[in-house]
Amino acid sequence: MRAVTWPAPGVVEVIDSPEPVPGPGEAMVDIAVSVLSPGTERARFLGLPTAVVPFPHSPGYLAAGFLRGDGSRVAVRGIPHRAVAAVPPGLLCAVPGHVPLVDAAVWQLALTARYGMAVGAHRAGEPATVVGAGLLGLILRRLLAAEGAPAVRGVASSMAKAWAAEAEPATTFGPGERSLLTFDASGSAAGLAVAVDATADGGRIVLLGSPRADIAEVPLRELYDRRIALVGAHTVNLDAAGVGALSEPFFALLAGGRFSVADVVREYPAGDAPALYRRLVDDPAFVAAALRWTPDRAVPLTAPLLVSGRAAAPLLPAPDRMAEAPDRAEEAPDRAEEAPDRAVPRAVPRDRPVRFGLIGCGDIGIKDAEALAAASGAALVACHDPVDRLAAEVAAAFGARAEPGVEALLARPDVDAVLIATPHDTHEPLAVAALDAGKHVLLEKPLANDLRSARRIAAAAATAATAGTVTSVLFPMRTDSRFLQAHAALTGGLVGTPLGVSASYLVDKPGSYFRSGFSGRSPSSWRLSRARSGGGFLIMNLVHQIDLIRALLGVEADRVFAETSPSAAAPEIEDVVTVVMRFGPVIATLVGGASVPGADGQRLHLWGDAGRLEVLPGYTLTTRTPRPGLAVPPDVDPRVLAIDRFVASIRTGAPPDVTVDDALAVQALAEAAYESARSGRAVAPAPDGRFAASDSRLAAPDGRFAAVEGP
Amino acid sequence: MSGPQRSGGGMGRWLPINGEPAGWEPDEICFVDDPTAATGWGRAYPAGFPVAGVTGEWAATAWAALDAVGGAAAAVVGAGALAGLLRLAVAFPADPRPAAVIETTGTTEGVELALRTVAPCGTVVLAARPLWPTAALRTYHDVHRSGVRILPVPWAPADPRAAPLAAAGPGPVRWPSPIPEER
Repeated sequence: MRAVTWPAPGVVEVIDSPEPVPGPGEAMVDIAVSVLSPGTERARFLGLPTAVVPFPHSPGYLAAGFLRGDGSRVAVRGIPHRAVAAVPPGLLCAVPGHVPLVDAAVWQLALTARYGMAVGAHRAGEPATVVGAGLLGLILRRLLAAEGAPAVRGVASSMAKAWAAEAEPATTFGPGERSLLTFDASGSAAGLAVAVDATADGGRIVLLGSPRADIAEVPLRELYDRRIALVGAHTVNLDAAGVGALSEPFFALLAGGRFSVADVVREYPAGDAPALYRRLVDDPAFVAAALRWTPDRAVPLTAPLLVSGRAAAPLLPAPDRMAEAPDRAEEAPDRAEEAPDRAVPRAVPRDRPVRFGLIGCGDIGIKDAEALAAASGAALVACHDPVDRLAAEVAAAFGARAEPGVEALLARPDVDAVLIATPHDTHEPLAVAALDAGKHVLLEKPLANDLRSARRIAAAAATAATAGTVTSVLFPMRTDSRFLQAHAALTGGLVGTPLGVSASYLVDKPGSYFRSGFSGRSPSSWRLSRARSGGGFLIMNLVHQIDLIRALLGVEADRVFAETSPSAAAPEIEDVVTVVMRFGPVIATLVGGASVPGADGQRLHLWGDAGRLEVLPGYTLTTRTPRPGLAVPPDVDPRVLAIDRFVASIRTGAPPDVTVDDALAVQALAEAAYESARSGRAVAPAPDGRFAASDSRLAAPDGRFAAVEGP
Repeated sequence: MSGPQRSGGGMGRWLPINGEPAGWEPDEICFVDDPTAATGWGRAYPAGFPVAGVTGEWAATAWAALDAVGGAAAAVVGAGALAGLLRLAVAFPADPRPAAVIETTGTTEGVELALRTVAPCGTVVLAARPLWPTAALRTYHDVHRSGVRILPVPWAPADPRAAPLAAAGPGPVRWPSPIPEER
């Protein structure tokens, strides 16, 4: 069998060694995956204080695999990284078939975290602070949130690992209010002083991670003056009964889909162990990784795949009942009491349209309803708006049924997909709820009100995609014939090598728009609130052009500079915007304004060394040398076409025109522009569009903003 | 050592003592916990404050420390008045490593001794304000791995429940006043 060994300090090998011989009562386990524990293993690898081990050393203690004999899935603790282990009964725990083994493999660390929570007398729903952003700190944050902590503050010596908190809605990193309960999982002698500073008077601090120093300067006087208790929590003090009592709720969370680390623990072939340990030593952003020893013989999913981490829903009907679903769905209005299917989308028969529920019946919602009614592959069957009148208007006009609440709409088995046309800050909870309910999701742009929320939506969409759920964002210009022609001309080389883009988007929005939209049907101040909308003209309007430019060029921006000026309607949102983006050799300049007398709408030119495209307001192609034109696509309402193409993605499984990654990249560009406007410096976004930052800002690979010196 | 500090309840305020009390005002009277200790602590009170009140606070603080260990058997670290009051009231532990240790000296040495004495998963009560802002402690071995809880107990105002203890026990010693004779 293969195994990881450290023959000497700082040296890693993957060797072949004989399988262990089981002792009395020990079970043989074929290990599927083992997780690197960065804190302990790094300390031992480097020979830090309190972590000295004899060499050669077999590292690791977090694993999961299959029992030989019956093949049942088990989590294992205390076993080093190897392909086969002989495990005593007390170090084994059964894992439900649908739970990813990588999640079960962190059992020992979860035990450490839960012990800390018990020693610290954490009460359900109590907020807390976690010092230390390594894997133990991450597991602790997620367990606290699963126990109802409304807010978990993360504190770390650097923000390099804060990216791992993107999928944690309850977590914020950085300054914040002191909490009565603080966990020091930093593994640092300096962590205790940080923990004291983070704790409110009368609170308690739990020492959870093994500090890498024999001696620490303890601020005893401050502890005394502020009446803060300090308690150590090491699992060496747990007996077998204690292990069982703390493990049971952890595995219940796993079974209910309410805990996972799969978004941060990436799997690598076991042979990559030497490279991984080098990363462990050198990469401050490295949180965790897993070694894959054998393929996971996962049980086919019959349990809910919950993307939100909320409480588990009943198991899905067995496959033979799935075939009954279309008939049941036809009767759905009379069978609302029937328990809805959850989490895995129903297959949509080809003899009927994809049925949509519309959430949000304001001005854009009306446009979407019109497009759904006109789309050949879609039908609007349900709608909801917090303002009953608006939903009733849509229902009456388009033959849908207005539902009194989002939950009721999502519970309808005759709704295959939802189109969300609501204020930006509501996109995340609505999209996640819809994905949890197994609905395909089409979101009006932008993806969210800020980049953190957008990343969480993207993570939820990625999880849901494994069950076949399609998520997309509606940028109608993508299906506009002018864009389609321009894209064809570019990819056909008709303008040569792209060099520049010039775009403007000028409108004259009446003051009433900010309080009730253009029509005045739906009074609301969300457009005036930066917290709700994410900003002003840039995120409300210019994102269309940012998406267009990015889609036309087919590359990511590597530098952004922006200037904004505040709106007279509300100083916290912007009116005039100028953005300069560099896409490799191409420089794109955008200008936008919301209050321009005689405004002329959108203009967009793109040119290369062989020609120029006018894309907006009308399409023309000018080339240095005569070239044959391209076929002109039929002029179809772009919103209708976008919906039909979304429907096609649902039916065929092909990626939608606008993927969540596309929308995330646009969101990140917008955030980069806002940061540039705030800082007065150009900002370099991360190249892959997924940014290693825990907040709404972009980050360079080291986790901080890469402010770029301007020309 | 930094200057005196009001901390917790009671009428007095903490005074560090390194040979003699530091930082007390001319119109105050000073009471010392352990006059035999070269380094220790005391408390300063307004001139005219009754001695019975001072003893009452010492006893109330001892009572609060006993409350903190839930009335369990506990070892006591220190040789001053506070330790003496505690030893009158606490149940002596049978185990050489008891579940609770009450530290009364405020010194780093005292805290270290308490941590080495207490049993794993036990409680160390800090009944006296630490004399220095920080203490270099073996947190990994003596707190984290041992599962020990360090629990500060603030200085307490006079408590009727502690009155019998105040009457029975040795009180703190008044430090000679610096008040000029003509006053």
